[in-house]
Amino acid sequence: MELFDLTLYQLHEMLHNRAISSRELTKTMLERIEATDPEINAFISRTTDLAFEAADRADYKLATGNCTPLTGIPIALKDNIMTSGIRTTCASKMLENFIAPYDASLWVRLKEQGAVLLGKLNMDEFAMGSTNETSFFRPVHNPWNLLHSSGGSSGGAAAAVASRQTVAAIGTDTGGSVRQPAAHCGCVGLKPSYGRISRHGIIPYASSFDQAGTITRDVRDASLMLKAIAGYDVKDSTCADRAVPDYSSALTGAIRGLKIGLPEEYFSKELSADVKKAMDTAVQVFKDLGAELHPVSLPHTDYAAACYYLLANAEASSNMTRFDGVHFGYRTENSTNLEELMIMSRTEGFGSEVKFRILLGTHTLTAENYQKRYVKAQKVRWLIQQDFDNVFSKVDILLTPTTPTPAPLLGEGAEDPLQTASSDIFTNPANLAGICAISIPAGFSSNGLPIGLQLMGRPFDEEGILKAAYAFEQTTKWHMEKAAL
Amino acid sequence: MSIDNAAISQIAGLAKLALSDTESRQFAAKLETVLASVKNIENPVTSNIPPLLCPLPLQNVFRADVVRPSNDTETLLSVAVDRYGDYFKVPQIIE
Repeated sequence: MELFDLTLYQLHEMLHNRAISSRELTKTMLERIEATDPEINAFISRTTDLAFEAADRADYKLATGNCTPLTGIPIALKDNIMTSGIRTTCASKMLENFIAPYDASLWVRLKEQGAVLLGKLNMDEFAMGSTNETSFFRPVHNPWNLLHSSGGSSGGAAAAVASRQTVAAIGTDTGGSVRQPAAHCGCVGLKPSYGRISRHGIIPYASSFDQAGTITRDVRDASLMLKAIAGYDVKDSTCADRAVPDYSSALTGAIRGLKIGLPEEYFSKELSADVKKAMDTAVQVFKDLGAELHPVSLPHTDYAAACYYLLANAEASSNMTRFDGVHFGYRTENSTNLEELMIMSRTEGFGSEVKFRILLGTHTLTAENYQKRYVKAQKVRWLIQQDFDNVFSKVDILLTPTTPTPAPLLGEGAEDPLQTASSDIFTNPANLAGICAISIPAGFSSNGLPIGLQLMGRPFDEEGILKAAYAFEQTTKWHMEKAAL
Repeated sequence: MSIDNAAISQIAGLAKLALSDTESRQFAAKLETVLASVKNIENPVTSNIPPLLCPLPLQNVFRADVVRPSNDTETLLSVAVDRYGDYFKVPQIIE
């Protein structure tokens, strides 16, 4: 077993016991990136010098006994998370040379706890996409099969963890962008409840949906990463002022009597045979662990995709107005007045998918469509949230597939908006309702691609889904499988 | 609803985007496909249902009216494409 194969928790123990140094670990990870990233393309920027400086500071802290579980641990951030003095591109020409003037609050917390930043990760442009093919910096390749997509939009984050280029990564999840790539790459992807982690300094896509999430090798690592970044932040008015529990203490493996709901709408004919088989096996595992499995219904699920697509892109079209060539980012050289400067900067700076989503969102928000599409979708969103409220009065968590199929081939339907949206149909309801959800490895397809299992929980009951996920993981050991790189 | 070239041009104008003829045709077709796929949003009965603006119950955040450290002008202007003193500089607006 190589150093880069170990989990965050294992490496923390080794760092704490002085069996290794953070500099040695950081060097190993940077060499691993150097060796594997030409094939994967997970990183947009590497922060080699800063990483060694941070590693040396961590080693000093470790020597003086002043450390946290993250001290000296190499991590990486999706490139829509602002990092002061470091390029933050959102995988867009618009921000190709943008040096963030301040830090995202979650990065401030990670730095304070001694994490070492290896670099910034590839993603779909402005997080708009599900296959990482809309990136200005070329697609990310799936470590399990380079011809397949990593998933998206946090494709670089999932691929980097699966390639063992980084110990852990932070992504963002607006409609499944942490869980879906985690499922496609065989990682653990946790989307906490809306408001659990500050959004300050995360470049927004759809503000009432966006939430940072963790991508890790296993569930214990997810609990440690969440603990590190969760909690109230005065700089984000939608960040919840609630205590942050010690998530690791929920990882007992004991789930006897846990009530797990199986929403009938998520086990439809759209599932591939491989995913269906993996879900059947997973259900039996939970039964064997003593959980109670109950069929349940979320009757408005059929409307979730439309609801999400309308609302998220309406919010996106509003958020993207800040990119106008006036203050920061790309500015055209083909303008003679301010109006032309704005139009041409946006036209030349945005990629095709971003332009389309801006058009869709603008169309949704026109006076003609505002009530019949935008407000209507907001009302349907309320119904979807009520579905979850009702079902969580009967069961503790919900079990579903994360995606209907394993990772698609690169180029397969990337231009088809419906195919792209269909890969998120099981993940975007959690964003609509603001609840927490996690994707964990649950097997492989017949052609060797990872399959993800999703557990959804009540708002702010991350402990509940982590507890169940840990029990499943420790029984099945799917998370121990490694992509051959 | 049919999305023709005039409709897509109007939306692009609102969005401050300039589209080529090819892009207009492609986006119009794509928009029609998507709008057809989201048409089922009309089906649920939503009379007397409140619109959900945000999944968390939001409350106004009151803060003490005291001076606190913040990002300084020079740091924030460091990202400016062009500047004139402490201002963002853009092409002439008033002729």
